[in-house]
Amino acid sequence: MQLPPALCARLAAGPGAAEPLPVERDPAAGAAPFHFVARPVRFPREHQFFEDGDVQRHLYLQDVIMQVADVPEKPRVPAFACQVAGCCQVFDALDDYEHHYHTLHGNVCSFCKRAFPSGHLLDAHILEWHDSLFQILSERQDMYQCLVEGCTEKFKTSRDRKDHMVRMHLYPADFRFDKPKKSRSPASAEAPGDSGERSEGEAMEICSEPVAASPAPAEYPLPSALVRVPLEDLKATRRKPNNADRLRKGVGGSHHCWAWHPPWAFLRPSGVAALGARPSPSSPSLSLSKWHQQLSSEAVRDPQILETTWTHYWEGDVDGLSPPAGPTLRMYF
Amino acid sequence: MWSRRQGRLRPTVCGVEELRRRRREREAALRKARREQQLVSKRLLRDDAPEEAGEGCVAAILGETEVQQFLRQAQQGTEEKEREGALVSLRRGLQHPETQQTFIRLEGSMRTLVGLLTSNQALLQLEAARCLHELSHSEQSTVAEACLPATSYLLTYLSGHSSDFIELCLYTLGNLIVESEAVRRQLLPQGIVPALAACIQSPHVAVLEALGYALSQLLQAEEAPEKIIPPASASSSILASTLPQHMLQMLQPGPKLNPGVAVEFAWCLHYIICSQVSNPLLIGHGALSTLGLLLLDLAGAVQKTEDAGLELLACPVLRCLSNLLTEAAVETVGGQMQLRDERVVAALFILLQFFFQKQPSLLPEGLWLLNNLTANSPSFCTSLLSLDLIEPLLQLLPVSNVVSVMVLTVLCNIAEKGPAYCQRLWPGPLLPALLHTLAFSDTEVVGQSLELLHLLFLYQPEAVQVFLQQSGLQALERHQEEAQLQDRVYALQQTALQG
Repeated sequence: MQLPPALCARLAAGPGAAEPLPVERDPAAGAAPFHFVARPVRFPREHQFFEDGDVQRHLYLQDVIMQVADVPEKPRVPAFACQVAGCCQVFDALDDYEHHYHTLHGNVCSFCKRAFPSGHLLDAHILEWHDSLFQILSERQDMYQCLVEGCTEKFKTSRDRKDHMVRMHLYPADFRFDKPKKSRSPASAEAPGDSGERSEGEAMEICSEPVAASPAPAEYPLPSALVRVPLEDLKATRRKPNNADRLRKGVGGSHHCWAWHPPWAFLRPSGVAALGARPSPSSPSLSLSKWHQQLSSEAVRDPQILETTWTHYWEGDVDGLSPPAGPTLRMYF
Repeated sequence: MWSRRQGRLRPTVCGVEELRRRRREREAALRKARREQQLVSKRLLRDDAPEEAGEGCVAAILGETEVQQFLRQAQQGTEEKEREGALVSLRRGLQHPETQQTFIRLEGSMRTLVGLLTSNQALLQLEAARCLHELSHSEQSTVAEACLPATSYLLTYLSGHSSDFIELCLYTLGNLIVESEAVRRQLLPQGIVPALAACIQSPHVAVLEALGYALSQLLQAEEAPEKIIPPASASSSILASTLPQHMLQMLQPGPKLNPGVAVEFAWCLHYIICSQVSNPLLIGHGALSTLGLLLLDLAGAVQKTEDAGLELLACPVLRCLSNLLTEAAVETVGGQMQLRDERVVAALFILLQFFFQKQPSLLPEGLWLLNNLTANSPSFCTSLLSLDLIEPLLQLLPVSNVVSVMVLTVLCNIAEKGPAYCQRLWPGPLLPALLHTLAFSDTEVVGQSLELLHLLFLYQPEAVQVFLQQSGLQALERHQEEAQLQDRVYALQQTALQG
C-alpha cells in the first residue's frame, strides 16, 4: 500500500479542516433498486466484527509469563539497616526496604505505635481512639464512619459500624483493621496476657512470638545490642516534638525519631490532648523489666531522655522475652 | 512496562515452530471462546530468579503434609528467613493445579494465608500475596473462588504505599474479577470501584498498568453495562466516579504517555463506550479530542518504531473513536472542533498502511473509522480527495471480501455527495478497479460495486462510455441471475445502454 509522499508532511503540519466541496445530491441517487445511504455504523460489545481484535488482546494478556532470563534481578545493594529508631531490620534490596518501610513505618499512630495499611485507616483510628472530642461527640451523634472508601454512612457505635460493613459491604466479621477499642482501666491496660485482646484473630496473628517462660531480667539483653545506635547517643539532645507531630505520624522526614513512644512518655505534663488515665510514674506497668524501671525513674527527672529511649514493650505484647528481630506491632485498628 | 511484558515463553524449552503451533492453538481456542461469549483471560506475574527456578520448568507438586508443613513454618517459625523460605516453597508448589487443589481442600489453609497476608512482616506479606496470586490465576473456579476471604484486604491495601505490593494485589484482583459474577457480587459492595478510583492517582507506572488491567476485566463483565458502568448504580458505578477523567488523562499524548498503561485504559474505554450507556458524558469529558490526538501520536510512532506492539493500542483507540462518532452529541456540542482536523485522516491512512504490513486482520477496524468519519462529513470526503488517498484505498481491495466491501462503502460515501466529488473520482483508477471487483464472486462486494457504479453514472455520465468500452456490460451480465443483484444489474444495464 503506497501512500502519497506529502501525507507525512500533512500529519506533521498544523491542524486544519479541508474546505468542503459543494454537496449536491440528486434524488435519483437513492431511488430503487439502489439503496445505499451514507451512515456511521456502530457495533455493540459482542459483535462478531470485534473478534480478531479481541483475540489479539487476549493473546497479549495471556503472554505475560515472564521469561526467566529476561527478568531483571532485583538490584542488590550493600546491606543497610532501616533508619527508623528502634527498628533493626537489615536489607540488601531497595524494593524490600520500600515495602518494609511502608508496611511498618508508613502509617503509624504516634500514640500507640499501631501501623495501618493506609492513611485513611490511620486517620480514622486516631480520631476514634485518641481524640477525646470524638468521644464526647459520639455520645450525641453518629460518629463512627464506615471504613469502606466511598461509603458515607456513620454509626453510633463501632459495633453498629461493623454490622453495617458485614451486611452491606460483605466484609468478614473478623476484619483485621476494625478491632473495637476496648475500654481500659489504668491498671489492666498494660497487663501482659490480656486475653481479651489476644483472642481475636489470634490464630492468624503472626507477630505473637512463641510464648516461653519469662527469663530473669538479667538475661535480657539491653536494647542497645539490637539498635545500631549506642546507648550514649540515645541520650543526646533531640528535637522536642510538638503536639501536631504527636497526633499523626507521616511518612519520611525527621519524624522518624518519634515513631516509638515508651509508655511513660505520656506521663510528662504537656499539651497533649487528654489521653485518659495513664500509669503514673510511681506505678510502672508490671510488665516492665528492671531496666525499664530504672529508666522510668530517670524519665521523671529528665524529659529529654524519654524521647530517645527505645522500647518494644507495650501492653505486654512481648513478655520480656528474647527480643524479636523487628518491631512487634499489631496492626490493630 | 513494554520491555518487561515482552517476556514470552521460554525459548530454551521449545523451538520457534513449537511456539508458533502453540500460538495458533491458543488463538483457535480464544476464537472459539469468543464465539461462545466466554472470552476470559487472566494475567500471571511470576518472576523466579534463574538459580532458584532450577532447570527450566516449575517445581514439584506438593502433597498435603508438605503444604501443611510449609504453612506451619511460615506462621510459627522463629527465623524470618525460614518463614519466608517456607512461603516461597509453597508458592512454587502452587504453580501446579494439583497443589492448588490440595491447598484449598486443607482446612484453615486460606485462613492462615490471609493471616500471613495481613501480618506485619513485610516480606511475608509479599510472599503470601504471591501465593494468593498463583491461586487467583487458576482456571478452576473452585480454586479462584477460594480466594474470596482475602478480597477485603486486597482492596484495603490498594490505598497503601508499597507499589510492588499494590501491583500484585491489583493483578490478583483482576484475575478474581474475571472469574465469575459471584466474585464480582462480593467485590462491588466491598467498594472496589472507589478503591480503584483512589488508587489511580498513583504515580507508579506498574501500578497504573495493573489497575488498568483490573479495571478492564471489571468492565468486560457481562453485567457491566447494567450494573457497573451506569451512573445510576451509585457507589459501584464507573461513570459516576472520577475514573473516566483519569482514564482519559492516561491517554493524553505527550512525554508522560506510557504505552503499556495506555493499552489497558484504551481497552477500558472501549468496553465502556461500546456498552453505549452514557457516551455523551464521555464526549463531555473531551474523549473525542483526546483520542483524536492520540491517533495522531500513534501514526507518528508507527513511522518510527519497528515493532512495539502499537497495534494493541491502535485497535481500541480506533474502536472508541468509531463508536463515539455515532453519537448524536457529536453534532450538537457547541462550536467545538470535535474532530474536524484533517490530520486524523492522514493518521488513519498511515495506520492502515501499518496494518496492511503487520496486522491485516485489523484493516476492517481502521476502515470502520474511515466510514464513520466520511459518512456525514463533506470536509473529510474532500480531504480524501485532496490528499490523494483514493488510490491507496483502492490498493486495499484485494485483501479480503470484508475489506473490499468497506473500501467500496467509503467510496460510496464520497460519491453520494454529488457531482463535485464524482468529478474527482473519475477519470482515474476507480473505474478499472470497479470492473475488477465486478468479477468477484462475493455478492456483497458486487452489490456494493453496483451501488458505486450507479452513483458514478448519475453524477459523472461521461464515465458510462468508458465503462462500455471496457466490456462493462459483460461484467454485469455475469450477475444477472443472482437474486440479490439482478434488479440493480438490470437498472445499470439500462442506464449504460441509454447513455
